Amino acid sequence: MKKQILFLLLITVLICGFTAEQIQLFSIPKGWPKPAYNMRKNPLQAANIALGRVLFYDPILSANQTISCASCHSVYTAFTHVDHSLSHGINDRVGKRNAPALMNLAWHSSFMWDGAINHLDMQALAPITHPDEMGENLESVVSKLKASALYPSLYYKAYGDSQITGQRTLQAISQFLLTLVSAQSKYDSVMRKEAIFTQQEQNGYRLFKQHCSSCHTEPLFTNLQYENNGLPVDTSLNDYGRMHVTLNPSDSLRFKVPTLRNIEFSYPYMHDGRFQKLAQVLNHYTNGIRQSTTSVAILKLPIVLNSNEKVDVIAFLLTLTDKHFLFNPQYTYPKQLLSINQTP
Amino acid sequence: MRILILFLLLGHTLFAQLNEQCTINVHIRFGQSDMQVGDTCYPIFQTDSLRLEAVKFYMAGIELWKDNKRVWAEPNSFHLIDATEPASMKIKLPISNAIQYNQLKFSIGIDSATNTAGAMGGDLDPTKGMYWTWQSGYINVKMEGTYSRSTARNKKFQFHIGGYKYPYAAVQPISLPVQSNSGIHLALNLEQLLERLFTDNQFEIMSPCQEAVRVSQQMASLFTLMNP
Repeated sequence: MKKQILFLLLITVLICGFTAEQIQLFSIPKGWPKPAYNMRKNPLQAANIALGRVLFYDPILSANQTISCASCHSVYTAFTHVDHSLSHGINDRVGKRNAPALMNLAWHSSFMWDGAINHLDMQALAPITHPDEMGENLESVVSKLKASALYPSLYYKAYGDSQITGQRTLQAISQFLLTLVSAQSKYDSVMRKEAIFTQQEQNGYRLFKQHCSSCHTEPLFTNLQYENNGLPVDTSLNDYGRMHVTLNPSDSLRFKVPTLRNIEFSYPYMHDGRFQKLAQVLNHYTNGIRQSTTSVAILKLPIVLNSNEKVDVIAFLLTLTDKHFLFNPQYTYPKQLLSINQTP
Repeated sequence: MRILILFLLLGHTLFAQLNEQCTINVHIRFGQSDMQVGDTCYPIFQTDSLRLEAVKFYMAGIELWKDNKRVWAEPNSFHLIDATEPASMKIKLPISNAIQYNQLKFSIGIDSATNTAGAMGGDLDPTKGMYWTWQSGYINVKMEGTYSRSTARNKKFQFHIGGYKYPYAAVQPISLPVQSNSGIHLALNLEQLLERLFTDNQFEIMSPCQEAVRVSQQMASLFTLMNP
C-alpha cells in the first residue's frame, strides 16, 4: 500500500513537472486559437530548443560558413532583414523577395510568401538549399554537423543519443521557431484590460477594424490566407506569387497576408520590400490599388482615409510593438557558439 | 518477471525465424535486359542510345491480400528503392508461413498525409535527396541519365516525379497477383516510358504538373511480375 502511494506521488510529481516545463516553454496566449503545429510529434524540450537556437545562429548551415538563418532574420527587427527590400545571401547574391518576420509560427500551416512550404519542419530546407541564400544541401549540413566539435553533444542532450539526422536537425530548428511567440504588445495589454489606448490609438483601432482586419485578423493580425492586395507587378521581378506554386491562374498575384505584429520594426514592407514607411503602405491602400480579377474583395471599393485618420491608424499599428519579444534574451545569439569562437 | 522477459525474447527469436519468408526483389529492366546505373549504354529506337545515372523511387504501403481481403500490412511502410544500392532492391516482408495471400498491393510514391506531416526519418529523411526544397513535397521517382538525342544541356534527361495535391497528385496504387510463400520478383521495365517521353521531346520534368501525373500513371502500368 505504501509503495502504491509512493508510486502515485511520483507519477503526480512527474506530471506536474512536465506540465510546468511545457507551460514555460510554450503557452497559448489567452483567447488565441489552437496552434497548427502538432507538438505531440515533436514535443518541446529545453535541450531541443537550445539546439535549434544554436543551429539558427550558426553559419555552418551555408555552403561556405558565411550565412546563418539570423543573417536575414535578426531578432531585433522581429526576425526580418532590416533595411533590405530583398535579402542577400551567400556571396552577396540577392534574392527576389523580402525576408519575412518570424513570430507566432506555431499557428501557421503554410510558409513563404507563396505558401510553397507545407510544414514548419520543412521551411528551413528552402533557404538552406537556395543558391541565392545558403547554397547548401541538408545531406552536407548533416555531415558537417557530425564532424563538428560542438554538435554531437548538443544532439545527445536533445535526443538521448548523438545521432545526427536530417529529421532531428529540422525538428530542432522548428522547436526554436515555435518559441518565438509575440503576444505582449500594448495592444495585448489593452485587450487584457491592463492598459488603455490613447484616443488616437482607439480611433486607429476602429478604422483598422473597419478597413484592414478582414485580412489582418486578430489576434495573429493575419488570416493566414493568400490575397492579392492590388500591388502593381514589379516588372524587374515578375513575381506572380502563389500562382507559381499552384499553377492556377486564380492564384495570380496572391501573396501570404503578413502579420502586422511588430510592424514598426519589420520594414521594409510587402513581398518585395517596396515600401519603407507605414505611410507609404497606407497611401497604397487609399490611392494605389491596381484592380484585377484576383484582387481581394474588400479592396474592390476604395478605402477613404484622410491624413489625420492615417496617422491614427499608424498610431494603432505602433501598439503592436512587443518589446518583450524584440529584446527577449532567450532569442539572442547563443553562448554555445561563442565558446567555439565563431563569429555571428 | 524474468521468465516473462525470457519468454518474450524466445518468442521474438522464434518469430524472427518464421519471418522473411517473403522477399520482394525489385528489378529495373530495359527491353529484354536488366538495367544498370553507370556506364552501360542501352540502345533505344534502334539508332539511339541512353545511359542511366539514377533510378530511385519510393514503394510504400505494402500489403498482402487474399481473395480481396487484406491479410497483412507492413507498418510504417516506406522503402526507397535505389538502383545503385542492391540492398534497397530486396524488401523482406516479416510474415509468418501461416499467412496465405494471392495479391500484392503497394503504391509508388508518398501519400498526402505523410507529405504534410513535417520532418520524417529513415528512408523518408530529407537528406535522402528525395525531397523538394523550394516547394514542400517528396519526389516519388527520380530518373536521370543521358540520351544521345536529348536537346537538354549535356544531352541529359532528368525526371523528378512527385506531387501530392489535386490536380497534380502523382501517387499511384499498384495491385498484382502473386503466390504465397514464394519470392516475389517485381520488374519495372522503363523502355516504353522513356521511348514515349523522348518521342514527346520531354527531357526534364522537375515539379508537380500534368505531365508528372501522366508519367506516374504510365510507370504504374509498367510493373510486372517476372520469373527470376
